[in-house]
Amino acid sequence: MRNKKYAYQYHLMLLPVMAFLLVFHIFPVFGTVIAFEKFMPAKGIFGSEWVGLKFFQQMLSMSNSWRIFRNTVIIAVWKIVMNLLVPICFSILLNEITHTWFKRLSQTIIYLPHFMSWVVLAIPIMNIFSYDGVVNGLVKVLGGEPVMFLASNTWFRPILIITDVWKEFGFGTIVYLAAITGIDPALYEAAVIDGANRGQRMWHVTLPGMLPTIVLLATRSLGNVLNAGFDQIFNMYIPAVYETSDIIDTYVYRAGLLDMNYSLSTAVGFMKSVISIVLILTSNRLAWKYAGYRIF
Amino acid sequence: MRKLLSLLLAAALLLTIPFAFAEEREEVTLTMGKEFDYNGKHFLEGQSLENNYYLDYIYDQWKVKFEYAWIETDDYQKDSAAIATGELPDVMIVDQAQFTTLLENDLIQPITEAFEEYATPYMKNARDIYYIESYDAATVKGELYAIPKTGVKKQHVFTWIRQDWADKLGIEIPELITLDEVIEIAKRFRDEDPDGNGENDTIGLPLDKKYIIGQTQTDYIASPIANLMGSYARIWYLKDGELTYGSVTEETRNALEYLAELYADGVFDPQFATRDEKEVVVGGKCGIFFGAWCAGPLQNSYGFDGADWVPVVGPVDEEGYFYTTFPVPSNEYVVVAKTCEHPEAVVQAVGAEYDFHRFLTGDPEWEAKCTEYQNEGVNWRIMPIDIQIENGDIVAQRGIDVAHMIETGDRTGISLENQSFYNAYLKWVEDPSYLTGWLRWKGMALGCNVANYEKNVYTSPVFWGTTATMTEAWSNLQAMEDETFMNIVLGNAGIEAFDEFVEKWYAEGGQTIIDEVQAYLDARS
Amino acid sequence: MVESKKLSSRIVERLIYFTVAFFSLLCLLPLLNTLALSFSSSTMAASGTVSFWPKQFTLAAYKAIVDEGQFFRSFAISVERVILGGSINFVMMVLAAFPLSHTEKAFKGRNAYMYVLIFTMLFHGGLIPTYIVVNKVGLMNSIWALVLPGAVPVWNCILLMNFFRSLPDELEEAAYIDGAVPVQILIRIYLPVSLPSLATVILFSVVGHWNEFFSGLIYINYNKNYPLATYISTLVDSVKDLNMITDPEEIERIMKVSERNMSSAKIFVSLIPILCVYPFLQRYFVKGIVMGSVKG
Repeated sequence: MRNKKYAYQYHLMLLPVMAFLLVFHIFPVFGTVIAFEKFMPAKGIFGSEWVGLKFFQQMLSMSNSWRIFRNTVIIAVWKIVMNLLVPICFSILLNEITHTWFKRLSQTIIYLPHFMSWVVLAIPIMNIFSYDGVVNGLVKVLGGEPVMFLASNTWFRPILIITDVWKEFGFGTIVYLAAITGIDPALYEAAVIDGANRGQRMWHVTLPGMLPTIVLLATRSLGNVLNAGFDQIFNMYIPAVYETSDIIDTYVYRAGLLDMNYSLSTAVGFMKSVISIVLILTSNRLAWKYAGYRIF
Repeated sequence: MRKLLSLLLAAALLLTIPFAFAEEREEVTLTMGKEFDYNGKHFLEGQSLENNYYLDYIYDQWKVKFEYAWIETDDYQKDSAAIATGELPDVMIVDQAQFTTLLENDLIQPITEAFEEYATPYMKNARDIYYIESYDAATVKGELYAIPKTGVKKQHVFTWIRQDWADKLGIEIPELITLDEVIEIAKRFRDEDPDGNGENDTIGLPLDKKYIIGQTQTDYIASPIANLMGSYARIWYLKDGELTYGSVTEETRNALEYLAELYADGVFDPQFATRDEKEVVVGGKCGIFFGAWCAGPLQNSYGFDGADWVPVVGPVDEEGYFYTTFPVPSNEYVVVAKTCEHPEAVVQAVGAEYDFHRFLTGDPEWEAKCTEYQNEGVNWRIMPIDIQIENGDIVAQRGIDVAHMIETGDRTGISLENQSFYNAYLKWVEDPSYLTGWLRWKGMALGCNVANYEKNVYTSPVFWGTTATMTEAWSNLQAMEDETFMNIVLGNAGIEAFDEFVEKWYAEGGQTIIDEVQAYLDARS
Repeated sequence: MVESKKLSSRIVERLIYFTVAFFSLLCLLPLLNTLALSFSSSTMAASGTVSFWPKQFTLAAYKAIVDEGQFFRSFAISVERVILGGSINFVMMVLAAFPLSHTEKAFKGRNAYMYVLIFTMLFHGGLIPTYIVVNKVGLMNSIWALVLPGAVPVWNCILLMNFFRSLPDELEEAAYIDGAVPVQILIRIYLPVSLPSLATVILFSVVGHWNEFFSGLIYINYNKNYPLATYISTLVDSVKDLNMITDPEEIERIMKVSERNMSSAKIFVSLIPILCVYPFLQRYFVKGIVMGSVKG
């Protein structure tokens, strides 16, 4: 290995990267100690009164904490799974399209909702699912009774998941498409010569070619198990569906509104970080052990 | 004797002020953290937040200049960040929670002396006659720590009805309306196609999704109905002399049960829970709702299909009494940072900007400039320290004055400010597209007078701050409250859900909070 | 036999085209809604009756944008931020990804660096500590506050690093034999063959900068210096507690319907740059296919 003598150049390259991370990421992380104290601005981060796990206990002591935790995990896991599957399927479909203009156009269009914030999107979505909206119109045509989707604890969660996938699948599709374009075309040619049909080519060539990227994205998304999507839920939910849609972040937001409880929100952020780091490191190890991919 | 002494003292102080002038005071620059939302605001040609008549007048009087440390839109992000770092500008306007934090952290200074010395008669009048409780809230251990906001008192909702729809269906709108009449009109508007488009697309009463019932300052809230039944949800008040949180009372249980019946009967908008009711009013889908005297959507509704709204007192009880509440006295405070060297300049500036704003300068040149602002619709929020300081009778006086001028055209003895509303009305008479003028007529000449009905029975909030336990438990209790109220009205839950809620409420911090509030009130009195 | 196979294959193809077209259209709906609102009169836009076709067609909203200086000022600031932030991100990503794409054996210390990267991805200092750092470093109220704290997009670094890792080792070996040093290898060999992946991560970084609004809210002191996303976020109705407002004019203004047609027009105009940049970058995804074939 001749490149060993150049190792100092690698260190040199990483120097500015590490400098930025140190100043803007690692240094502020020390501020996390306010999760364990009653933070008083005047006394500063290192002078405030130490209260230990008080804020962690506060999170767990409410009658609703189990409900909030459950909602968060259920919604987040559904979103993680669907946001993995749908873009995979869609990018494979898109790859089958031979008309370049059509492919490019639809690629651009499906990416569009990603650019619009939930504050903006919530309005048309709520119209579509409203009592006299398009979906209920369809229900009536099919002979059903109109449903108050957005005030129903049965329907609200599925709507959250569907609309989230709808907003984000274009984004995932791009990554997978980039992965597909990296697959050697010779493999396809060989498959055609071997008499593989379209489906077999998808299954035996395209999908294995995407696998590293899939593992990569899946591992990363596991870190989101406690992020169920604050912006979306906050803009769409009403008290009637707290039962199925109140999540950790919406709770923290409401708690933060009443007084400036930095310590509580920092405590919650800390807890979420710890859980996601455990999940990500575990899945990294599993991916290496069982699929042979090293992500980090 | 003491009174005499303080009078003498005041006189002595008055004498010193002119000398302060004569000394040719040095220029003072105050740094200020300003919250300002540019939406819907406009300036005179060439003017801006940094350059306008308010600033000119303040400088002219006191040589005080302003430098904005920041100008942020609409939320308290910057204030909170600044408070967290402890580096404050000289002046800020903060909310209740921030005020408490600032006091606890000893980051602001008392302004007792500066206020006594430099507050204008207008400011002192507001304190002494109308809003002593707001100043109480800003006072700690005998020291005044802020200039509190003193807002309009009569801001409650009452009934608005579309005259044109009523005429079409042959409904006579009474002067005082009862609850039964409200419900009947709502049902007829819902059923009898008042917009005449042949479609069953109108609703009865809109309903506010955020609160449903509670205070009385939010349009579409059903509080007028609940208040009639003795329920004052979401506020702390004295019920027969005893401290009560309105949401957990038997009366509120009854009110919710009744509202659920009305909802099941289709009196309320079936979609209220997921809809912005503003759209229903503006879009010509409803002809009766609960709104305040300045109800804004009226103007758009009039622009949409010429809706002719009239305000009506009610719903009232058999004896003609109307039950409502006052808003919380104060929740915004002008605070002066500990590091500020000229606390008196803050008081001076507030006094001067209000002298200008309320035509109290005694100088025709400045009055002309203020008239120019009124006519151009320049919003008062462009003043540097935009805290609201009102004279408590302002709504009543506006109603009387504007109605009088519209009726007789006689302006004698009427404040220039109220005359400006009449001018707007006249402008509308000439140019019907000037909708603000129409609203001056409906909202002020009619609405203010309805708000000022003599048989209003007010309940006042006695507590609106935050106790120690509240910081931990309150948001959770509120979420429970919102959820229970909405589910009961929607019929998702039976009324027994209310009993469950009350039980949980007391168990999960409610009882402690009641004790804390009681202790706070005891300590005050 | 052959005939029917072709037929079924054609049906599958039609089906694929149809599915892709259907989902693409679905993604176009909110944009159409925004567009329709922006061309409607303000009263109609406020009445909630506009769906996908303007009512009382007017160009008033667009005219108002042109008349109002702030929109274009914010637009220019956003462009500046994207160019500045995008280039910094690009340099940092490459500088981090290249050394880290080597094994621990070839580059001692690589794993330690990697753990630092993962740590910063998962642990955040939170709002207040980060604010304090930015304040202390003296970046407040400057465009640097918008680009420097996020100078190293860790997740994109990892994406790129994995792509580099997938390149055959022989590429590098051969270059070393020719006497090249790491910087030369990076610039002359790695970067040119990584165009599709580079295009992807640059797109993410550009889009991220274009859309990010929160740092503008807290680090920029004056509205007039807000980037576009921050400016737009202030246009959308904020949730206000009316109980707290006792200023009649303020209530009047809030109850009076917001200028929804105006904000819709602004949202639409803010999407235009993305619509322009995206197809341009897309070309590189397609080029990736060509690269792949050369590689094989």
